[in-house]
Amino acid sequence: MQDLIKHHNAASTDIEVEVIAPENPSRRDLLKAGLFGIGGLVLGFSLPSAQKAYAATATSPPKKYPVKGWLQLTENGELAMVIPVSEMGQGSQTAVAMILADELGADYQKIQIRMPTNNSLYNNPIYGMQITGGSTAVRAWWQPMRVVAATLREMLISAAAKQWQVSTQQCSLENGFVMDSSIARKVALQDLISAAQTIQPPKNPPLKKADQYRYIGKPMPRVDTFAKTDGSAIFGMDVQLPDMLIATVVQSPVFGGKLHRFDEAAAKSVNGVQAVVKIPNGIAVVADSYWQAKKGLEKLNPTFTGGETAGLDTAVIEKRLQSGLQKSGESVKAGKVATDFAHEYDAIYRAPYLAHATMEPMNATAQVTDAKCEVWAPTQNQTMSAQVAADISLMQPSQVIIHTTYLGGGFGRRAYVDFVAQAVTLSMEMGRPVKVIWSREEDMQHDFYRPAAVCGFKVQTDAQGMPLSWQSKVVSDSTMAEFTNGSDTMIDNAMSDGIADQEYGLENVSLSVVREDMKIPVGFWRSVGHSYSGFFMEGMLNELALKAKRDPFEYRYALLKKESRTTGVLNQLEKLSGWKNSNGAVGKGVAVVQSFGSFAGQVIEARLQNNKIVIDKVYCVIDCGIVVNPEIVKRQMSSGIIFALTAALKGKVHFADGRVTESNFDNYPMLTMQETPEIIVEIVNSNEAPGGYGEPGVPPLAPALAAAVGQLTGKIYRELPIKI
Amino acid sequence: MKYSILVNGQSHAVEVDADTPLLWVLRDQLQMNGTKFSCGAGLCGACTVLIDGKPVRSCSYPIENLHNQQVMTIEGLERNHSVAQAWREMDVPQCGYCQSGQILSAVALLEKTPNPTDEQIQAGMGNLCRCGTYPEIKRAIALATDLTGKGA
Repeated sequence: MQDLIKHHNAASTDIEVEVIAPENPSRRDLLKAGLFGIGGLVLGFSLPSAQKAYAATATSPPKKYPVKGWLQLTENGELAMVIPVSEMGQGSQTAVAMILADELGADYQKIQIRMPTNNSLYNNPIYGMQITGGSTAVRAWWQPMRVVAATLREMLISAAAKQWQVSTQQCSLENGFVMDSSIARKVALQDLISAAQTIQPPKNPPLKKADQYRYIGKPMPRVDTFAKTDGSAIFGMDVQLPDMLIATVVQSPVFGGKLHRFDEAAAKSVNGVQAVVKIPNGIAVVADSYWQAKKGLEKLNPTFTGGETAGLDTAVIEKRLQSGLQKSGESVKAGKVATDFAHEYDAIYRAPYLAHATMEPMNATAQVTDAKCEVWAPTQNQTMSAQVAADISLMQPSQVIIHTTYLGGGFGRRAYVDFVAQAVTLSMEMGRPVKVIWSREEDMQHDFYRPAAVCGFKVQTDAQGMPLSWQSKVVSDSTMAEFTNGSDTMIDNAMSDGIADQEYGLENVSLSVVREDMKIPVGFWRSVGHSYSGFFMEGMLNELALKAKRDPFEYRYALLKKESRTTGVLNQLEKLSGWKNSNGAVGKGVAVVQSFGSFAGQVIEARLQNNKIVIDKVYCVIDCGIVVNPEIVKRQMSSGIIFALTAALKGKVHFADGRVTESNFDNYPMLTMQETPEIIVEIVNSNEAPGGYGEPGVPPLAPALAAAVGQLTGKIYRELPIKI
Repeated sequence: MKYSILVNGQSHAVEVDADTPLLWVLRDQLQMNGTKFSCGAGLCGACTVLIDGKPVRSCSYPIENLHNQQVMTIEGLERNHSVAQAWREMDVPQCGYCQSGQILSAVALLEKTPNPTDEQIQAGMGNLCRCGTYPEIKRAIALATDLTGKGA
């Protein structure tokens, strides 16, 4: 996806996703024989050509404007709008609903929200497929959604004017009603939906000006709060269908291993167990309830042999990453290396594998009949969910329906559709609706992990310690190769994102990338490559500032253009954090990272207590351009900070005998309320195009923390998690 | 085994194995889905319910241990309860998956400690939240204290 992010502002028509048709013999037969897994599905991405302009915002609106695709009537005759993004906590459903309601003239507080089904109408305009990720919801939909809403508004006004036989000039749409200004009459939007279907969509409908917004820019309440405070919100886990069975699975703990032995009779002796079903990379027990399925799985006691990661352990992985630094790799950027320099500094930075650990374990529900394949899933990726469902059920795309539920956390994990494939497979096998639920242990040991990475720097400086040239080499695995079934040697932008493309005027930067394919499934993890490259790059800058005996703010200002957005963030952050007020017992650190179209800076105040790191405060300034809902932006900064703190202090997935050793929250711990610092966030006032905010809060945290702790201990921390 | 359990003031007859955790009786038998499954080991608190007013991790609480006690789930919390009100006022949830457990833990905390200190809040709220809504949870608990008029 990161490759796509590079082109995040290209027109939607430039990105095509094509599915290569299933080969013969039939997929069903192959499936029964256990011959293919998710890896058998081929997705081809045709990326926009590199020379395409990097326009300021996505400007290509969807081509069709069926009213019912966006506005629907509920069973009670109320008005509902379809919001084309998955809601996993990031608040995008609220932000996009605000944009739609504001431009349309609907009453945001009264209008109902509907989740999207699979429909290319709802394709993410940046990616050209129906996916929520890459912090794109607002920046992708900001322009197209206003065009859709303005088009609908004009169609609804025309429909009312036609009914009243008056000119559209004297009609307006406000607060959920079309009003006739000549006489005091009005008609509710819900009463115009069917009439508006027959109206020809206008070309170039006028968009509202900023001073006409009622909701955009205001801290409107979230649309999902009620349902999430009374237990009524439906997550994937909560889907109930008549006659439904519940399954749970074990997959080969060594990645790519084969099922060896299992005791089917013992499993079936458990009360309520209906069936034992082999799945491509493991085995499932299907029962009347989850507890029975879980007990059945314990009795089944499956064993596995072989696997692509057999014998792999953390020490071997770290040695391979380290020795990757000796390889020349693929050059991303080649700068001149200074020969006339005063100092040369070497450093190697390291980041580990990480798990997503969403609070809701992976799950999905499917009902496959002769007529259709219906799936209910907490998914970030409706397009690939539909593809995998069609592929396995041998249905036409039109027979596949993907219902999106609320997601109990996503962070990138739910861009993958392995759990959807299992639900479809099991429903076909059982001839009944099946909900597959992973245990926490299964979830943690079968993730698409944030890949480990190592970065080697060599920097030549002048006598004042300012860099003259800068060489960097990143060794890691490719998340895009995993996502697109790319080759073992494929290199992608995510591997080194953020190293050579920040606003620092470092002209003589060299960057090369080495792919080390460990055969461990890797994937998008909140902020993707920036999650480690932010630590590497900003860590090194803090180190250089220290060597130069310069204040880290001053050191950065010297590298930045005065008018740059990074400088703007740093200026505001310096004031907000009271940077110059020092207190000997408190260590302070700063970092600033550009990612996902936004600029985020953080200052950390930390102390040592009983030889443990205690974080008192995190100050954060974000410049994410035009803001739709400032409160949601602030909450996402705070959320990203806590997510990143968890990783920086505790996060490391270990491997032994080819498998993940962590299994639950006792050995893969999360930050607790007690450990959570005070977090102070400010948003830069900006009229730039909207940037992302779900992920940009993550990257600056680790390097700022490393610097703060370093100030207390006198050490330099180049490895995550930080251990004193 | 047949059991009769009291959930949110209503009696329910269920037939399950004696070791079935209360969580799965609520979810799979009674179709009360507000109580969430997350770690299955009593580590995270997403499955928190109140048994006679005390917070219990229902994923690790076998139904055979229940003896005529009152179980309260999120579905049984009054809509205008000060904690529910405060949670809505503060717009606390993000993904929302842990919030049923968070809310019921807060209800139990304020029942026992109507005006808790920061330390008491931290000690009483051991539930994990992956979205990191802890700062808002703290503020919502303070607001709930004010709403009940028991606050300082």
